[in-house]
Amino acid sequence: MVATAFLLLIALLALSVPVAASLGVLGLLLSEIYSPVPLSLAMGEVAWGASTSFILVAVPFFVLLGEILLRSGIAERMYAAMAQWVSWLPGGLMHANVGACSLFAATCGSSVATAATIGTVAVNLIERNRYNERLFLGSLAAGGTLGILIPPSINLIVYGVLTETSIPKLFLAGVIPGLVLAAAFMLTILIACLIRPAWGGRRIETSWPARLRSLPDLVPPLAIFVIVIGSIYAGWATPTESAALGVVAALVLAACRRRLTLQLLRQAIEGTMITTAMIIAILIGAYFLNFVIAVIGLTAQVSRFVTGLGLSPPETLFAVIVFYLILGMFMETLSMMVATVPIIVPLVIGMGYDPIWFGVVIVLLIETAMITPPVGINLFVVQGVRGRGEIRDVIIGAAPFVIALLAVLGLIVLLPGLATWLPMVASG
Amino acid sequence: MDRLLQIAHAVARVGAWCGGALILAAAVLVAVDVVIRNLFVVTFGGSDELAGYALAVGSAWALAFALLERAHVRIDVLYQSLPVRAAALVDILCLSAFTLFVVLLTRHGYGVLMQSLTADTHSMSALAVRLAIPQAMWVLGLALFVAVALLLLLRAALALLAGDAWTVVRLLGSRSATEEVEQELDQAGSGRSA
Repeated sequence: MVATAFLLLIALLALSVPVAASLGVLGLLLSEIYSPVPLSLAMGEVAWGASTSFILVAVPFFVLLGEILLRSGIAERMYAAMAQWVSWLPGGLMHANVGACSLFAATCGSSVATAATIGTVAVNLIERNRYNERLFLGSLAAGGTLGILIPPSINLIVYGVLTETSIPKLFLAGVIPGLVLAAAFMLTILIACLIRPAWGGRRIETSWPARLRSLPDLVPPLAIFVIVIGSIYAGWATPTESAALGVVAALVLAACRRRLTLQLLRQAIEGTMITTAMIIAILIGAYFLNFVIAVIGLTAQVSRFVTGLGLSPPETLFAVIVFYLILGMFMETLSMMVATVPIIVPLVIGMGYDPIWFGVVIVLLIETAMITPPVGINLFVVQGVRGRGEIRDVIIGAAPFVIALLAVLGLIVLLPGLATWLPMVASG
Repeated sequence: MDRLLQIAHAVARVGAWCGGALILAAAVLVAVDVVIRNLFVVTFGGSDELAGYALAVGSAWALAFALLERAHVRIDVLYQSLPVRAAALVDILCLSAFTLFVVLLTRHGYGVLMQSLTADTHSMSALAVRLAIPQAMWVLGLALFVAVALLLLLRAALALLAGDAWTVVRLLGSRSATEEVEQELDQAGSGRSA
C-alpha cells in the first residue's frame, strides 16, 4: 500500500499534473483501491470545512499585505537606510542586501516577494560599485529566503495548520534562527571579501549625520512588524486577526505615501486571489488525501514500515533531512511541504522530537530548496530581476550561502534551544 | 470559439475581483473587530465566521481565473524537456485530471448545499447564518471553474485535431519559471516607479 501510494504520487507529479489535482486524484485512486466505501462522498464536507477555516484566512491576508507593501514603495528608502548602517563592513552593500531582506521579512511572509522586492532595488548597484556580481546576486537570493523564517511566515502557518501546532509559538521559534541565519549570511560575505578584497567593490561613503537622518525610513516596516507580531504576543489578536491589522496598516501606509490608488488595489487584489486560489486548491486536495490515507490506514503502515527499519531517532532525522534536501532540488516548495508534512511530521514527533522545533527545521530545508538548482524559485527570481547573463551566475553565487544554511541547520539540530527557548519563555 | 474564451477570461477576472473584494472586506471587518474588542471590551462577534465564508467563496471564485492565468503549480522538470506535440498531449491529460477532480468536488459540494437546504441548517453561532447562502456562492465558483475548464479542453482538443500543438501549449502549458518571475517583477517594478 505504501509503495503503491508513493509510486502513484511520483507518477502524477512527474506527469506535471497540477499539484492540487495530483493530491486529489491520488486520494480518489487510493479510495478506489483500498476502501470498501467510496470516500469521495466526504469530499464536499472536507473541502467546505478546509476552505472556511479561520486560521487559513491568514494566508490571503498575509499575501495581500505583501502585495500592498510591494507596491507602496517602502523598499527603496528602507534599503538606503540599511546601506548607511551596515555597508562599512567588507562586502559593502551585500550586507545591506541581507539586512534589508531581514527587515522586509519581518513584515512579509513570503520569500519570493522578499527576494523580488529587495532584488529590484539592489541589482542596479552591482556595476556602479564594482562588486563581484555572482556573490552579490547570491546574497539577494539567499537573503530573500529569510522571508519565511522571520515571522510572519505563510509556510509556518501552513505547517501549523497541517500539524495542529500553535502558530504563535512557531512564529516565535523562527525569530532567533532567523537572526542567526542573517548573521551567518553576513559572515559568509565577510569571509569571502576578506579572502578576495576585490569582491567587496567600492567603499560606500557613510557618515553619522546621514545615518541618523536615515532612521525614519526604517520606521514603516518596523511599525508593520510591531503591529502584526506585537498584537499576537500582547494577546490582543490571533494570527489571522493580526494579519488583518497588518493589511489595514499597509493600506494606511500606502495612503500616506499617496500610492493608494484604485489601480494599486486592483493589482494587489488580482495577485492575491491568484495565489490564494492556487494555495487553497492545493490544501483542499491535501485535506482530502489526508482524510483518505487516515481512513485506509496508510499513515499507520508508513510508521510501521519506518519503525521496522530499526533506525535510531538521530538516524531517522538525518534520513528525513537528506530526503528533503534531494526532493527540494526538484519540487516547488509549498507543494513539497503540503504533500509530505502530514506523513513525515507524525513520524518525527513519534521519535520524541519537538513539533515546534521541527517546524523551524522544515522551513530551513525549504529555504535551502529555494536556492538549490535545478528548481530553486529564488534563483529564478533574482535572475529575472537582473534580466541579463546566465542563471549559472546566480547558482554559483548562491552556493556559499547554501553552506551557511546547512551550517545553521546543523546548529539548530545540535542546539534545539535556539528555536524552542523563545516560545518556552513566552508561554511561561 | 476564441471569442468565447475571451469572454470566459473576462468573467473569470471579474470573479477574482469580487472574490478579492470579499477578502479585503473581511480583512477590514476583522481588523475593526479586533480594535473594538480591545478598546471597548465589546464585540460585535462573528467576524471570524464571515471571514471563513469569504475565504471559501473568494478562493472558489478565483479558481477559474488562476486556471486561465496558468497559475496552478505543476512540477514541470520533465515536462520542460518534452517536444511540443508530446507537451500538448500531456497538457490535455493534466487539465482533464484537474477537471475531473473539480467536477467531483462540485458534485459533492452541491450535495452539501442540498443537505443544508433541505435541513435548513443554520451555523452554530450568534449570527445563525443560513449555511445554504455561502455554500451556494461557493458551489457557483466551483461550477465556474468547471465551465471554463471544459471550454479550454474543447478548444485545446480542436487545436490538437487541427495539428496545432503550439496553440495547446500556449493555452494550457505550464508557466515556465521565467514567465512567473516576469510577473513578480512587474509587480515589484510598479511599486518602484512613480
